Amino acid sequence: MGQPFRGVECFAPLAAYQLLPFRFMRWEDGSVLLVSDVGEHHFLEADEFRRLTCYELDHRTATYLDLKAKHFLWDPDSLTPLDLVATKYRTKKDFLRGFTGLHIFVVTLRCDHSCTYCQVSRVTEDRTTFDMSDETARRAIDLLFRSPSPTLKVEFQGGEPLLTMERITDIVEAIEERNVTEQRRIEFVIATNLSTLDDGILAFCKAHDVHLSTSLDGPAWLHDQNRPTRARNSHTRTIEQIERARAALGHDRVSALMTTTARSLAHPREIVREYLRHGFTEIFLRSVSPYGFAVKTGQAALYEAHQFVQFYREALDEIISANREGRAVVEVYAQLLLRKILTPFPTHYVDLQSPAGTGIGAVVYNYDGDVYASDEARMLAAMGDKSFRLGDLHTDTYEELFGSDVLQALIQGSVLETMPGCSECAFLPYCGADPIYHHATQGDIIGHRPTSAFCAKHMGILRHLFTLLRAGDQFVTDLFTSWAWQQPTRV
Amino acid sequence: MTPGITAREPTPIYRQLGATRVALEVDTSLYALAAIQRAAYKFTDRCVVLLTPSGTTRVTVTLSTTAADADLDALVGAFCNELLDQQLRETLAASAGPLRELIVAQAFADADLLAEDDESPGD
Repeated sequence: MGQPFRGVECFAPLAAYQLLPFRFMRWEDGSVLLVSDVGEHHFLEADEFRRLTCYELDHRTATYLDLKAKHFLWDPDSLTPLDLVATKYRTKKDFLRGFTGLHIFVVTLRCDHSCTYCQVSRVTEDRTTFDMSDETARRAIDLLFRSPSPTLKVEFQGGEPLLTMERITDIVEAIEERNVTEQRRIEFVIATNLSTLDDGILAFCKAHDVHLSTSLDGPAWLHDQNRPTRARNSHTRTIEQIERARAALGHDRVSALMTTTARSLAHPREIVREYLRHGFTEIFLRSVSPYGFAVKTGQAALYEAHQFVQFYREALDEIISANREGRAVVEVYAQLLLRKILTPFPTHYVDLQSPAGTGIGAVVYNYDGDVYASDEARMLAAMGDKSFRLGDLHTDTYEELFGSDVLQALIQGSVLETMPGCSECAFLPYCGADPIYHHATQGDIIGHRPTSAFCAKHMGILRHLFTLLRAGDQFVTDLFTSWAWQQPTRV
Repeated sequence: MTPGITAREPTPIYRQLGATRVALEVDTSLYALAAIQRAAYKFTDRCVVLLTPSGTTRVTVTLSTTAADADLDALVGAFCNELLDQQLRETLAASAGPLRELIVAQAFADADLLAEDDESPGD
């Protein structure tokens, strides 16, 4: 005989909850990924999702409490949850505070390499007309200090910036002198192939706490094909110079980036092992950008987004395996995304922001005085398309440059919350718009998301990261959490 | 057969207009036009999509796939499921949308927009 009466809890009313804003995405196994506006995420089984959205979720269940704790729903007897979500939202958009933090000085277009994917249409070593003048540098420094940001990152790019080291020296010293009264936190980085690095340059970097960022594409056979020099020794030279710089400046003052070419696609594990062999603790797996020499040589069109995603998955797997074996190594792109997924904090990576960081997160002072909204904007200009030139250092004021119609159009056209295909995407809080990429590849800054390689790449990578998080491997969860809570150091 | 229940042929959910083209009718009393448009947009990577009014309460969706060997049943099935999800998003936005605006406003406002007015004037 059955129980004559059901327990009193069975007669409790269903919770009169309300839903807070969230987006959802179906998963291959039938579950549904929910992501709130502030980046909290939760997987629900299909039936739980149906009950949630039909307001039938039992308030006594763990699912209900989880969703309430993550602010997917609320009991409208208090406005406190709304205040908390507003605070989280403000924190997530904190990258807007301070305005432009990254200032890129293109001190020369000259270079001694002929890289197949170079994003700048570079010229040969001996054409000094492609160096930044003293007057242009002085005006760029004035503009740098007009930025309200308490933290300024000054990055020297080229060409090969070390070919005009005397200009870098002048700029660093002038900024430091000015900063005695300005009192900003300033970080200096030189993006260099290291080929002309010498003891004098190292002594300067040591004295002024300058960080070096170089390129290492993988093992010698791959690196040398991607980054040829006349001497045909790019890899050997790069490794020698990395060791030399580490000895002089400290191991953590030299970082490296890799660019994935069509040649790289079949060798993700080899590339990771090359980084491990040379003692790197960070690897940044980057796809080739569709600008400059990369377009001329056809590198930009040589592979599809899904091929890069497959490459990325294998390389990430190798990195996870290395960590299992006790080698602490971070994949920087995953780290950026995981920081958005697993912590309340934003990143300052300009390509993954809404609105995009063009101009308001980063700005580029070109050798000739042109000011661009991003590094990609000046790469495009080098191809003859000056759509995203904000103005001229010599003739335009700060207000004219940063209040320009060009910049306003870029900002307005990169708010994901208003963009077709993005506004309803669950990955919105983690993603970005990259208006210049879409201008370059699809002809307008908003672009067409169903056929966008940017969208396909990020959908692929984010789906993979969530799949790994959902798989329940405690090691991977702990590893990803540790990556997320470290501030990405070199982006 | 169960007494009182009459078996009926299921109504086809689409009309095939050729080897690579189908049309289906969507009732706008069930699906918001915005949901239909969002679903259509999402399919523009694999189809040419045409929306045309059909009377006052229906929209005809024509899907022309570029793949010669496309599985039209699967294509229409995926579109119908996408339509359901987009309609759910519309429904959720209708209920939570004002909250979203309030939260964003509160996040950047100097004033406390959420302050509960529990004191009457003159207290």
